[in-house]
Amino acid sequence: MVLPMSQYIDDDRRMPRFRVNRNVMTDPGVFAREKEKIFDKSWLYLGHETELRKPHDFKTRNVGGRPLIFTRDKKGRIRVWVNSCPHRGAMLCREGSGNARFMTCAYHGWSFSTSGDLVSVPGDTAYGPGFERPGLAGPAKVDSYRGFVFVSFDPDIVDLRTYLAGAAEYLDLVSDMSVEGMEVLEGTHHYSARANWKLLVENSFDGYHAMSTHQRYFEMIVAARGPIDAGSSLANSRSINLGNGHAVTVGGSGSGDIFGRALSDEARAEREARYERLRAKYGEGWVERLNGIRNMVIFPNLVVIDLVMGVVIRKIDPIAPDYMEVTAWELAPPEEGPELKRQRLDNFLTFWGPGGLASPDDVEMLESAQAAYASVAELPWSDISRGMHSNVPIQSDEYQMRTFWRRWNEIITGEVLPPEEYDPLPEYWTAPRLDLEAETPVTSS
Amino acid sequence: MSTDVRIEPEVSTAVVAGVPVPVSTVYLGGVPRGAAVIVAGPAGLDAAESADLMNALARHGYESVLADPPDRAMDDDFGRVLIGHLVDSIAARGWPDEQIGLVGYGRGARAVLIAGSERTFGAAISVPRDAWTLLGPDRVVSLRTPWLAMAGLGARGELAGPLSGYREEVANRSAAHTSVVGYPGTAHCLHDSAEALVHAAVFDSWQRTAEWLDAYVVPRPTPLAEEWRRRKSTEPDPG
Repeated sequence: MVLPMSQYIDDDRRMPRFRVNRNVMTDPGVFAREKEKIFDKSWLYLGHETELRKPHDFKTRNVGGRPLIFTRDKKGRIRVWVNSCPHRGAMLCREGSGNARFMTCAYHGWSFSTSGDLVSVPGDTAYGPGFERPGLAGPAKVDSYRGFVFVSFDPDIVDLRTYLAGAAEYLDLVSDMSVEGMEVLEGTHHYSARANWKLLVENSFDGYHAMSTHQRYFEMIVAARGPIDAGSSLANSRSINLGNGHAVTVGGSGSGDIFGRALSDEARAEREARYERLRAKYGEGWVERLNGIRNMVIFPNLVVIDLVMGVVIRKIDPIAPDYMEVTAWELAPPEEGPELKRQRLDNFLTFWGPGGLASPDDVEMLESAQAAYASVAELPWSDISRGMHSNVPIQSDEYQMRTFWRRWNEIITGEVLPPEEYDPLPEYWTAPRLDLEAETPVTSS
Repeated sequence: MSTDVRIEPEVSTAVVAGVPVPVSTVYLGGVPRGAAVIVAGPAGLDAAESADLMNALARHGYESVLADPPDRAMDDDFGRVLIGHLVDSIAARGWPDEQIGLVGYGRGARAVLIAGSERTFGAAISVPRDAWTLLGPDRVVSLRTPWLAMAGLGARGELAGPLSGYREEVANRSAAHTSVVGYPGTAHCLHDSAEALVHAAVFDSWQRTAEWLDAYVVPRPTPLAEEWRRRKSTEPDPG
């Protein structure tokens, strides 16, 4: 099959070869179209419900280029407001987080409740009795799935569950790691990179780069624990198209054991006891899947990675064609004991952190690629063909990236490229989540 | 808390549980933003500092009632009765609980803490002379009212550990938001001083007091705000 070559994507099924034009990483016109067609029209991740524990807790976030207030009102409902006073525009919340029942604009003193109502205007007699008192503005849509809160600025967008498509099942997997309910831990990573945001999307589920880019990390693991057999640990892996541009790479049960420091027998026993409780609740097959690694991108910019003994939630914000900001949180079971919690936090810092053993390596690669795109006239295409010829796409192939790019291309250019066809997923990767008390499969909801 | 136009509080004597207690009031015209109930001691503010405080609150739109109970009478039960008396007196001027902020100094800090644990007010603030007023026996760890405490950590920071542990405990066990602030290099933040750390603590303490009240005390709606709500045919929902 020979597909017409678009301006941005060369999807040649005959060779086969898949290429992305590097102009998409540098062109301000492309960046402007992404804002209009992708970030103004998608469900975008805002935060996790467990970040707001009490009424009036708030976080300020930038989502889709907008400053937002993520809060709980007096009744405990999640509310999302544009962080701008309807009077003259100044930001109401000037801190990253806190708790306040009323938010008062520092400019002229207008005060708003967490429910969005204007409750106080200094000298309000100057406005007269007919004055329309404005409340806070919010995004067109706010919804959550398993505690993951998303917003959309498109009033006509499909509902969140439909948008998530197959990605919902993988949010179920990471959310089911605790019977009590997973929670986002205190502490947030903020960093930036002088690179296009899509480079980090690619990197976030790029299994191919691990051994070369993170060579020093694996040297450290070998030095600490002895030889590791990454080949056999990751032999049973897959790359899966989840629909709507979402994709995931997954490794089999226990594949995460090649990462992180060695656990004590007690910590292993504690983790196994928790999994045993989960098996009794959700079934063996579901927990086997849960016990593997996974790197997922929910289109366009949410990354959920369950790797190196922890679940990382990563939000990628495009700021300019060659600059992005990144925020990352750690999702954890609240019932975890001290050693597992310590190891989790250690890995979150020393592997995933802005000064850790992995993220700086990645940022260096992305920034060097971005700098090299100055030669786009001489070298216009990047290659993302890995695994295209096989019947089974694995974790170190690039099918997941092609899935993202086809959706991106469809939205930006209107060109619909047909999906790749692969062997069906074996039963291992499709084991359902059971409710053993009801003895029925539970579909994602 | 300096002021150009000074309001002299009206002083009277209330008999609370059989004990005569000096009570000062600063009532405001127009539509005050909120009301403050203050327990100035014992071992808290002196008369001049109390008047300064009431004036500073007035500049932020709060009318206030302040009691300075005698040392010999002040225990937890008397504190409860005293705050009940002061709240009743301010409620008679149309202030519901959520439009009232409680502020306690010295041993009044504990009375306010207890009141905030037993009833839901707009806000509560405790400024003890000695942090052990909060950390001692029968410590209160569950608040229904958003509560701010500000205490000195001691000259050598010896209270940092106990105060930090208490901060975590009260935050975990309270339905309402709480904040416990410790100031290094000082025993308390009650009296201003030329000594830099003390001055900084007192300045910061007052700033936090004003911001806490504004963040949690429900503003009294103005007539125009009431009219707007009626026009919108919605139930008043101050958030």
